[in-house]
Amino acid sequence: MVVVSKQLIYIVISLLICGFVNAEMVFPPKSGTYVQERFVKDIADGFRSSGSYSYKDGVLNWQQEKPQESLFQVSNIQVLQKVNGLPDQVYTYESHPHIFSFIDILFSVIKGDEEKIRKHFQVKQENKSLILKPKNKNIGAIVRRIFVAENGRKIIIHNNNGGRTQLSIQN
Amino acid sequence: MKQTLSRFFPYVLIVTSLVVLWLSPLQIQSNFTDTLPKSVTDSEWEAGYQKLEQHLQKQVVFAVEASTQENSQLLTEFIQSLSTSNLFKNVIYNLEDSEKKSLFAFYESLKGQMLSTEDRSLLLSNQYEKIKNKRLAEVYSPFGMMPLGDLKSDPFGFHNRFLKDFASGQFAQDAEGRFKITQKKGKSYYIVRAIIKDNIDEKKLLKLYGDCKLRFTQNDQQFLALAAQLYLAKGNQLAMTEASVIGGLSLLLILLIFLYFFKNIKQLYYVIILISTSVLSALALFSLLQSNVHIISLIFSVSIIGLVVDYAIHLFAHNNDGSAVKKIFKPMTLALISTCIGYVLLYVSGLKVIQDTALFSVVGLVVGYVCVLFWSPLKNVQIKTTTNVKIDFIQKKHLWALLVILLGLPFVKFVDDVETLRPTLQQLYSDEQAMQSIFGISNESGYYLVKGASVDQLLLAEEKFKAPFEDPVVSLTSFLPSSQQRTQNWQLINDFTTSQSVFLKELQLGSVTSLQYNDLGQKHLDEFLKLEILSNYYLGKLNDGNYYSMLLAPLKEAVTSKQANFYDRLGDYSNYFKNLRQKVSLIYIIALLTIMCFLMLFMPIKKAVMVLMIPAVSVLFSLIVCSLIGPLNIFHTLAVILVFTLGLDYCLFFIFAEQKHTNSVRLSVFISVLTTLSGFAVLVFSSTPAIQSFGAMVFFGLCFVYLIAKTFLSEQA
Repeated sequence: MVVVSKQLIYIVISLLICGFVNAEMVFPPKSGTYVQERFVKDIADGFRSSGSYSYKDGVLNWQQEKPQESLFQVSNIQVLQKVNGLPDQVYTYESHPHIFSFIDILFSVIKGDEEKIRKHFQVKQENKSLILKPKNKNIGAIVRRIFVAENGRKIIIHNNNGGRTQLSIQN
Repeated sequence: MKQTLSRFFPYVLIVTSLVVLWLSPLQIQSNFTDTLPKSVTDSEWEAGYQKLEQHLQKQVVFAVEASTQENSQLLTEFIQSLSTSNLFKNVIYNLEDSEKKSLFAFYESLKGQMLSTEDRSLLLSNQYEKIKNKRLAEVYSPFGMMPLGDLKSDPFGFHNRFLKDFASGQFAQDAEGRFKITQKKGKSYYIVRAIIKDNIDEKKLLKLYGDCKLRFTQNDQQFLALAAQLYLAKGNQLAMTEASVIGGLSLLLILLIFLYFFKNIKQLYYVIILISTSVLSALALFSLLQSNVHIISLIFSVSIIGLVVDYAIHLFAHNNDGSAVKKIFKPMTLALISTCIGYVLLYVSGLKVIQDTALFSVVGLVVGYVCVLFWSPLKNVQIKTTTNVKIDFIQKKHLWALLVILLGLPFVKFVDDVETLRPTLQQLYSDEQAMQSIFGISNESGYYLVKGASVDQLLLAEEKFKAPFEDPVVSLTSFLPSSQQRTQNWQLINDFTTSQSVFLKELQLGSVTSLQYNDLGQKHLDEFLKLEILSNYYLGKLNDGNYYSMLLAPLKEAVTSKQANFYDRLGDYSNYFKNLRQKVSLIYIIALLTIMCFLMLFMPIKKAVMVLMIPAVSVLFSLIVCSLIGPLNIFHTLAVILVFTLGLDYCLFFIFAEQKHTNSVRLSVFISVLTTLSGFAVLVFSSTPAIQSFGAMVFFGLCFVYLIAKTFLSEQA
């Protein structure tokens, strides 16, 4: 339950950043591919994964292809998590209402609701990068800060536990 | 001197009694459970029973609906109001940072020994692939937030998953650490547990509950409370209110009857002095013998007012005919001795509330008897003989119709379940139902006690007890498994990790640091068991030398054993009441035979049998009628003594009155019955089952006694 909420925060953050860069804080791309590297304290190499994402008819599909297939399907009715070899997990508003407050933010990002973005993040520009600091306590408990560089193609999310996640987005 | 004494001795008794009561005040108890013996079984579980009972009686669990930020504000104010109310020792609504730290430090020392329920089940069933997939999802997921800092020592993340499982399950908290349960329908409830201080003012607790209920309801928020203390307080409040209203109403009715039948107000004054002397003398003697008396004993004992007033009425009626004391001495003495035999035998019942009733009644009656015989002003009181009351309204031929009542004999059924004696407290009951639904507890669940010679034995016993349950049951082992299970967990983790060297290489984790198995030290364990969050599960080491824990489990799946037992205090008390009822019934038979032997010394056998059979038959009729209203209980049984003694009283007066009954003698018995019935008729409307049952039994019983005695004994005399 808690894990899923945090995962959704990441989706929100990722798409939010895409929105900033790709359309000058207006619209994120509706679909694309990504490469992610996750760095963990005391382990030299990052854990690399890649896949694609798309947003269509009110449903966001976040499809990881390597090294293991998994899918997150998010709508305003339910969140479906499919991981190879494990039973599907479905989270509905009835069972996990708090998750859907994040989904609300997520879809406002996709729709380019700048006001809502600024409500949740403090935005600062340094050289050609953007630095985002969460205003929201729940997001702040997980993410320390976010760097957005290379015209939004590269995003670095610094966690509160000392690790970091690098995300490269391509249309 | 003799004349002065006979004129003023009741006043002396009243003043002396008041002084005694002032110097040695008598506490009036209103808690029904205080009247019950502390131990009703010889169970080896008694220590655990008493501790659990104490635990349940000392806490209030609140569930407050708060799904929005605005609602949350009221919740904060509510928690503050609990802390400042001076009613609670402790208000537990969150896991404080220090406690959270202690808890997680404790688990850190047991790293490699703790598993989430799902992981343990997967490892036990060798579903290794699923564990690997789960781990891959955690490590590579673009949104995976599972901490990966301990990949080297715990490459499959068993410990972190245990912690996450633990923190998001039964002990879920909001951002501020407050305990919160979210229902399927989306409503969120905050759970607050408050530990009640000793000797609090119950009225304050009820007021707090009432005020909060109103405040939250006005804000469209659900507010629920569950507490044994609230039930008791509400029940006591109801009983006290009813005792005042009912007592006041019956007294008013009796006064109206007296005003109608007596010649002037002054006569009424004498009766009031007579009643006061009896009651206060009994109370004063009580206060010298013991420090408290229960309200139920008082209510039942005040029925002696009825008997004392009856003595007085008989005296007044005979005053009309002259040489009254001489005429009433024999029936009144026989009635007193017979009544006392009944009450004294009740003393062996062993139940304090009955023993107190017996003692109080005997003392009050003896004092009343002495006053009626020797208090000189009473000799001038007379009943209005001119009163035109038709009392010959029934004849012998009509009475046979009463035999129809016997058709109801198959319906006579005693129910000893103490639950049926609980007053209907609708609001608290609906709170309880709603609370069960929030916690996902079936109403087919009950408290269980588990014990062991050591903490580890206790944990083992709990695990064995919990094994058959389909749904997880939260208990002490949800926090700490037995050492046997912890060792098994450690072995399972190590076996699995060792078998996955290829997979670990793929994860760039070729060299895994093996976890050491740490024995749980006694000091560490003691500190852990002191944590507040465990106080709802762990009862500690009790005076029988065993360690105890408690849990709420479904009755259907539970299997009791030497180490796990169903806490069935209500069942034990129900059995106790059943035995008591049987014992009291036996006492009645012995009393009946003893009184019969006694009466046979003063009258022919036929008359003695008749005098006894009339109240006995009336008791039977009354039991049948009451069983048509509802199942019979211990209080119907207890009321039998009053029907019997009062009935005997009327019969004796009928028998020993003049051969040819004057109007005044018949009128005296009629007024006696009327005053007594007025008192008990009002009790029938009580919502407290004990009072209602007692009132109904006496009311119907005395109606039958009067009808039968008047018809049969008037002709006999």
